[in-house]
Amino acid sequence: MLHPGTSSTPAVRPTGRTTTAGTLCLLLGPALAVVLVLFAGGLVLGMLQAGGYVPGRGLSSLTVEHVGNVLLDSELLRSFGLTFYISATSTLIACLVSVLLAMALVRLAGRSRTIYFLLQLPLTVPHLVIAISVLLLLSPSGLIARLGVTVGLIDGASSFPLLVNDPLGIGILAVYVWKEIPFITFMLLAVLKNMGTELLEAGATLKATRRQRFFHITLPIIAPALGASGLIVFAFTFGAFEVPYLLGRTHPLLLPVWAYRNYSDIDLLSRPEGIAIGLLITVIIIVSIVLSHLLLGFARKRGITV
Amino acid sequence: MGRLELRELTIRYGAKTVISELNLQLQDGEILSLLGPSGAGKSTVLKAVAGLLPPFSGSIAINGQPADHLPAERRDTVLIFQKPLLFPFLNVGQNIAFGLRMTGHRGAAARQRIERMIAITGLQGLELRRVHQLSGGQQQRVALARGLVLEPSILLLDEPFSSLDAELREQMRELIRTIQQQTKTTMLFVTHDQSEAFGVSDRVALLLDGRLRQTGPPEQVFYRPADVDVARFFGCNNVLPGSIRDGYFHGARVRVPTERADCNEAVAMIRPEDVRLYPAVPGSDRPTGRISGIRFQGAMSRLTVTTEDGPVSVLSIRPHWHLGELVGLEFPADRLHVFPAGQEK
Repeated sequence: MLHPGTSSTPAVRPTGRTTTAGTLCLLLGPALAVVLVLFAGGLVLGMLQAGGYVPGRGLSSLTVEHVGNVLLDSELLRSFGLTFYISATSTLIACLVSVLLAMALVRLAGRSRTIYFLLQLPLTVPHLVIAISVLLLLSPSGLIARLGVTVGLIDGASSFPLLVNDPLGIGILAVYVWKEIPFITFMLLAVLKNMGTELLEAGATLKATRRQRFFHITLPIIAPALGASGLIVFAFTFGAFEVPYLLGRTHPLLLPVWAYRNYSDIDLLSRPEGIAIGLLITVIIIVSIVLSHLLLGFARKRGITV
Repeated sequence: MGRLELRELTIRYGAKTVISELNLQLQDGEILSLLGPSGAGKSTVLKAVAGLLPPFSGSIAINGQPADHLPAERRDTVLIFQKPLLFPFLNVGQNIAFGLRMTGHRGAAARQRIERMIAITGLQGLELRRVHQLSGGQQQRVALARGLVLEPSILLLDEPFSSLDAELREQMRELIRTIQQQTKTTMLFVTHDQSEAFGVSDRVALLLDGRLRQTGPPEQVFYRPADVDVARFFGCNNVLPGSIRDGYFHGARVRVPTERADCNEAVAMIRPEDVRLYPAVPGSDRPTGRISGIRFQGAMSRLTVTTEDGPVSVLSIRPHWHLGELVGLEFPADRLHVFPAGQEK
């Protein structure tokens, strides 16, 4: 920074390209328009419908009755609890496995890009494909059950433990954990690679044991990335519909499935309630994403490269 | 107490030998600089002493006890790296307290040690600062305090000031000397900077190509080089060819007494600042040459004099010579270092 009166040199011209506000708006316009129309527009439309305003179907007055119905529904708490359990559990398991995996792979990743390529592969497979695979593998008439019968481990399909459409949501958890581990590991590997081994070496000469180095150096360094990616995964699984629809039980329903059922009910009066549930999910997702961004910002402020 | 003994230490990276049969001793309370050009293996030695790199063979003893089998966290050494390597998620005070926390030192005694180190390193008032808010010099001082607070027997310093500017480096050298006087910590200091090594240490050990070539007080290694390579490393770059006969080195118009054994091929080396220039006198038996280059280098100027036997480099304060001028040269006998020519690489 130049202090007034301390220099007679001409004003320093900013380097690089400068963009005026107008140009910036024009450049961002197309992308912003899509976001505004599709997301913000959808959100407003959803809020109107949740308020009971569906003129095409004879509902033209705004009311909080539908939102109230949802909030006061005794099923809401059970449904919310199950959705939270599925999202939180799958996120926690994925985080834990990802930390171990990233720690194990970091040296290899430093030497070869193949690890990143291998991690990218599962990211490209749609959730639906994995869900169907899990169904084919883990259902009582699935591949593993049949294999069990063939080798004599179980008597028949009825002896096979219920792993899909089960009360604990094991099938859903399996899909989410399988899908999210590569994503979180990918994020962690980038941080660990950036961190290098020098901080750990410094820790070792400062008398930190291997365990202490993990808990007092590695973990604080990866914590922001782990938290942020965990929150993103949590937000996604909280709002995802197709996996619980395929692999979940019919009662209690996960919030996204419940929202869909209401929305597609032949009783048109159920539609505002479906939308209201959708809005509730949206709020939770937005909060998660905001928290994720705050966490990353906090880490960058502390000099941790994420 | 802090004594270090390295015996026949050999370190390899795969098939490549980086350090070869290194023998070195550090006495209690001593600062020894391990000096050498980049790639000589200096940092490798420090890492081996710190327990971060297993040696291929040889032994490391700290205070008379073998330390080869001990992992880094159980060795009585602390390594200060080239980069400060502070923990970005901790503030200054927490960084300094890190080692004490790891070793279970808490309470008033630990606080007292931290406060003392903060005072010695001049970090008062910065305890609550985040590390990225500190300047480079401050960060390196935190790194020093963080290591010293553990009161190690041996403090290992791996070019800790190389990323700082010249003025700050000078301040840090002073700080190291002050800290050493106050704490009596034995220090093994690695650097490629001769002036830094001379300014900081009691003794200097010169490492060239993975081998220890000379150890001694700074003046000794600088003015009495053990061989041609050491002489060259310290800037003694004028080489006069000749031979040794009957206790004398005989070169082109140079005759110097020497204790070295007779040999047909020998060299006499002299530092550029030790060569004297005179106006050329016709008929004189002094070697003569013509000034072929003058390069201003600040306090000194480097002159190149082209003689019959090749170019001679001369360092001179405020030279009054001109390009192309014919000059006479004098190589004072007490400034010439004579070596058998076979030593020259």
